[in-house]
Amino acid sequence: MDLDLTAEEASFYEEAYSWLSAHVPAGSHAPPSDADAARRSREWDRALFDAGWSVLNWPRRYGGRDASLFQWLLFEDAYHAVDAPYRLSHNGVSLLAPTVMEFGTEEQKDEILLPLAQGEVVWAQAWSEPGSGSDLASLTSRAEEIPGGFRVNGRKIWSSNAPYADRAFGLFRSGEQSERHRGLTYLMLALDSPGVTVSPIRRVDGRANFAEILFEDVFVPRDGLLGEVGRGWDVAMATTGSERGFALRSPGRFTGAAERVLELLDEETRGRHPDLVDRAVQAWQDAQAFRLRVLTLAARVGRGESVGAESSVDKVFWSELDVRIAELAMDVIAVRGPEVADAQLERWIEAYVTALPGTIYGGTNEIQRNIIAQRQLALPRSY
Amino acid sequence: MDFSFDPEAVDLASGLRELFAKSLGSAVLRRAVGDPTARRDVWRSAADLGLHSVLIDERAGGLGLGWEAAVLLLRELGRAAAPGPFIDSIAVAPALLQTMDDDRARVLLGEIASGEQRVVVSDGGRPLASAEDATLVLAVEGTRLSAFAPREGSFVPVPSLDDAMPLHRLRPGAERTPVLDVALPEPVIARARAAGAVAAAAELVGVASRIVELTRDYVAQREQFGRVIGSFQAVQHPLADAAVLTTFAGPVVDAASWALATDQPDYAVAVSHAKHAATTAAMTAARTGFQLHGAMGYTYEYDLQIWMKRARTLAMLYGTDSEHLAVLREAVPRLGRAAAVGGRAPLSRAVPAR
Repeated sequence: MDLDLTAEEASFYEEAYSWLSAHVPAGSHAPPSDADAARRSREWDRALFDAGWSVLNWPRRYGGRDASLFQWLLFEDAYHAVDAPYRLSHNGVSLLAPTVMEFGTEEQKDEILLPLAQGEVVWAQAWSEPGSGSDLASLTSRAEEIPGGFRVNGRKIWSSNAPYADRAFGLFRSGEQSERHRGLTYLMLALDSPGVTVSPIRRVDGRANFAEILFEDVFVPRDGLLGEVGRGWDVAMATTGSERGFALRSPGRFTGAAERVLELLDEETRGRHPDLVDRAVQAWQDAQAFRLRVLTLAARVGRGESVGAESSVDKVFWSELDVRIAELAMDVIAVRGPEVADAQLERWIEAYVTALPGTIYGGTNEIQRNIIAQRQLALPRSY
Repeated sequence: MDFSFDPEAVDLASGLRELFAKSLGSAVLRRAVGDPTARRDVWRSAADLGLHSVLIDERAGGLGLGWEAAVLLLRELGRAAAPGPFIDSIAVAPALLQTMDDDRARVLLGEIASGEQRVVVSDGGRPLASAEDATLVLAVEGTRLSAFAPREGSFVPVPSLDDAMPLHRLRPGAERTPVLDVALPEPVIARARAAGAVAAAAELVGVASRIVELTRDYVAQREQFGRVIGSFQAVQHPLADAAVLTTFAGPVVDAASWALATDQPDYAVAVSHAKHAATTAAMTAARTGFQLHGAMGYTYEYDLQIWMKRARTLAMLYGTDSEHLAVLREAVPRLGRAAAVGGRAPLSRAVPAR
């Protein structure tokens, strides 16, 4: 055990931090809710890519620099230390790409990964349906095998970033309804295909970021199939493991946010509002705990272990922490007076709006607690 | 940066776990309450494995494996609810005695390493755990340390919830014949207190994980409404929450032990975080476990009480939760990013200094 950074690691952090400080654009910390914001977000992804930061822990062949998981964590630490904006490529990078790397053909990897890393092709996820949320295995959107590919019909919903995305990935039923998770197929498709209608949905702040996607006799070519027909559930579960764990929300996000809240607590506020101090100190501790836990996971991944099955524990922890920090920040700002509030409030409203769905998406925290009870504590299926 | 344990430390800890699994079941734990011989057998078998010597240098007769091993072994002591003054002997006494260039201290360290001395450390007027088993008292008074063998009347009993680990205080003015009486630098005393806090935190993580397991086993077999109660979400979810807190407390404690072992500038923050996180996990597990056991958990006959009472007792020792929170409340807002231990780059230019 050695928790010090090596000289090499420290200089890697410095390199990332200097580049980010010099290049970070003004931009929202929430997912985009208009075309202009989406365009700026793509440009930021492109700038990150050109400098070699977009997907640094990927293989060089796909635009990465073969960096270690720990180097990626250092980069993320720096990314949030400079308070850099939301990345539109994020869902593709953290949810689709690991699945493509594991299950994709060489052709699929070559076609998908580089444009994704460049911010050129933006991906949206298509899991939930109007009638299938927590009970995802009950989904009814169909993919029928036809010559050359699939015919897709049905409806997907709560599809983040879909109004600004080029392509979508998700699960479709190819077998019988009664087969539940065994009769599903994982498909990737273009959102401008004939028969696709994307209807934006306004989120809680009144801005449109997610969408309903309607599929009417949509033709999906055979190369949109990831893995085998009927094995989509297994393929998808690899993705949801990433979504729940630290790949989706790196510790830097929380340590950065907690430090920012501590900075908002000036001496006078600390003296007058000890309750806010206690909440901030607890938030700081929780962020550190998440960071240290992820460092142990990174060490295990470095030894070749798989840690995906435990990701429910992490998802419950970070998603609830995210909301607590954003609420705390707004409470601190509220007592700091207009000179702080006017400069800071918008940033923390963005953080709050971004944090809120975290306890819902990727499997609600109720589902995560079921998974912890059933997989880690070996309790029976729950009611 | 490598947050993983040395295989030798891991092997030693699994050896201790196996030993306790075989020799420290519920019947032995119950017999050990009020039976000093049974407690000494536990002490002896753990000492034979090397437990007592991990934090003692090789030149003083120890194994010198350091905190990387100690933190894992202490977790096993908590999991097993091992009775005896382990924390003071294994962790606190070496921190007090090891820094001084004194032959008598070296002799005592050798005797501690072999398990021959059972040490309790009196820190001012604070309570001592398992003083009845002690063969040696280390009393810290101000910056003075004196070592002496306890005798009849050395201790006053303190009302204790945990009958397997009863509390006492050193009787003020009781006669003593010190074998050692020296002044210690304040930082040495501070590090010894921190060693006690980290050790208690490691035990608390073990206690928390054992309570989660005991409760899991109970709700997986207890039936109501025609099915095991462990199939109800109202039962599964609070237990999952206790498991989450326990999972996240572990690395915090491990990192604090590294900070202490490597004498990081702000190790005190890491140590207080560790004690607070471990206390929160263990107390949450204890309350959840108690609730999910129903009336069964309120009985003396059922084993849950052993770990529930240990959690409550360790929460009050080696710095109360309130004292550790006071450390954090003072230091964290002042230090900000710099308060973090392990794996973080130093403050960069654009991060405002406070």
